[in-house]
Amino acid sequence: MINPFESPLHYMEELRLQYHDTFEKITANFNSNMELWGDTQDKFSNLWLENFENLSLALSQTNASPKLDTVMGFDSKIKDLAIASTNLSMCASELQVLFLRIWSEAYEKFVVTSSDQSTTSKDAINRWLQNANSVVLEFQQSDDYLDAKKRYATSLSSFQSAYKELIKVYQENNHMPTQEEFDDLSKTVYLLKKELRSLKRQLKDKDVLKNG
Amino acid sequence: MDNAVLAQQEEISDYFEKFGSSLNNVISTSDNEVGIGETPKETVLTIDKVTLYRYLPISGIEPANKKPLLIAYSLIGSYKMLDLQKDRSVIKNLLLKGIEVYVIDWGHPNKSDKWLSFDDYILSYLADCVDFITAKHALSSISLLGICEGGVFAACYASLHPERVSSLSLAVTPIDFHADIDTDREDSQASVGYLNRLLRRFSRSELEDMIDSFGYLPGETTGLVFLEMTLVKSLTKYNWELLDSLAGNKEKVLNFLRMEKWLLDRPHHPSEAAKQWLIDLYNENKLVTHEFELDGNKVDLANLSMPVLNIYAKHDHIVPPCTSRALKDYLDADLDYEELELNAGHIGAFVSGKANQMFSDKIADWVSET
Repeated sequence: MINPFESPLHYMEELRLQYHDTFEKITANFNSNMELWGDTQDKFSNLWLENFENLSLALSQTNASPKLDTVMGFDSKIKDLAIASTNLSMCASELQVLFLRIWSEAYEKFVVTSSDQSTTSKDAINRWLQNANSVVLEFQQSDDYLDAKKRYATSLSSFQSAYKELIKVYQENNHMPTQEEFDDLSKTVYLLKKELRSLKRQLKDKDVLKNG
Repeated sequence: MDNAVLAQQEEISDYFEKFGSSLNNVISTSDNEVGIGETPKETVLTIDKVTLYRYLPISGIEPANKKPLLIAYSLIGSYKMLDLQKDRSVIKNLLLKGIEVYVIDWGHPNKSDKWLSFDDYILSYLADCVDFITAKHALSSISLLGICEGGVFAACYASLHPERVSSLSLAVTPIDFHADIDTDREDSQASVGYLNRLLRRFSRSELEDMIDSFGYLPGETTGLVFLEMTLVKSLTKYNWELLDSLAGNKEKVLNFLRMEKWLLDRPHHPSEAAKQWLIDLYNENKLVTHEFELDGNKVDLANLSMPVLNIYAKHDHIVPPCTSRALKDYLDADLDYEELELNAGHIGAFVSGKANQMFSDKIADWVSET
């Protein structure tokens, strides 16, 4: 074992060789397992999506369940939130799967283009990021991504709406003002202000006409 | 010694040097030092949450023989972008040219402002600001500069009240939100955009539900959308690139922190105005189909009768240049119309040294004479 204080340069060289050797092993291992890894990811993702779809379907089928008086609508709102939450998770998973695919594509492209470029680790990381950036930007233009993004955004809106509905039941049953009541109030104030502003403008215009 | 060892040694030494310098810069910098929007100004008018600022002339600078310039920024982000740092301030550059500068600060709307629409922002707030300035300077018209969404405000106002605007400048302003459809898909992201293409996939009711579910368009959400548009850069900003941003010259570090401060200040977008912005304009492209109405009046860009300057950024990934440049197709063929291309992105147009100066010089030239 080299003493780093006695021979720092040899120690650095030793470190470099060890680092290089380990990196080579990891890369070789990673490459040989790439196909298996991709296949496992694919299977896992499909299983995940299928489970969410089944859960969502099961929840949707309870639509016709009878309404119960004592629970005051909480049950149906909770069910709606559960469905929205499941759909949101499903759409988020779909995006994650797409991103897994694109990172993998970015890596494959990087390996091909940078195999014969020996530079510092900093340069290598910068090249990897530059490569990933261009692959991701191109991917974000694809129909696959834009459609998945849309599904994610709409499921997020549904989740947010379902959550607000649940909160509204709680507010109503506890005699607290709801967002809808607040909106009614703010709209009244808005319309009044608008009318006042219009009247002021009319008066001003009349003054201008009167004073020539 | 092996070159690789030397390179590695240099790399490690460089890393620790940067780490030390970053730590030192972070410890020795207080938030008060990170000043943005510091050019002296006075409040001359307030209407609800909207404030009209007049920038104080710089002593020793002769007033130009020009009409006052009113600047309308977007509702997304803060007007302080125009005055981010002293040596790269559009506002200061204009003051140095002797221009009288007014800027509208739209404030920070919340859920109580959800009913505010483009009608209110353009025909009330913007119109009141124009009235105030014309009255103060005893003029019948002023010069108007609109930026991004503020550019749409300015174009709509000027087409409904051409007699009140003597010259119009628009910067990074989308006009034909679907202009990218005819653009070659092989072009870079900057030329086709992202937001425009994504929003067209939604139906009107889906977008309405999306905005209604939040009660407004949250500033944090618009911020996340912008981060997503440069995903890898956003993911590495606070780790891999952080030392490069925080190490070294203090002034450079302050520039980075100023941008961070500006980014953090993302006002919410009122619900009704957001519906017009995302649905009527982005989704249904009503501004160029002559269907966009404000208080029952149709906006017709062919009514623009004043000189029009259209500034766009070559690398703009938020507002693709083709969506801005389409303006000329909707103007009278004899109109005094000019374009300026900046070799920058959507934000770089105002903060990169060269683009910023080019932008300011051209605007100063375009402001009409009294």
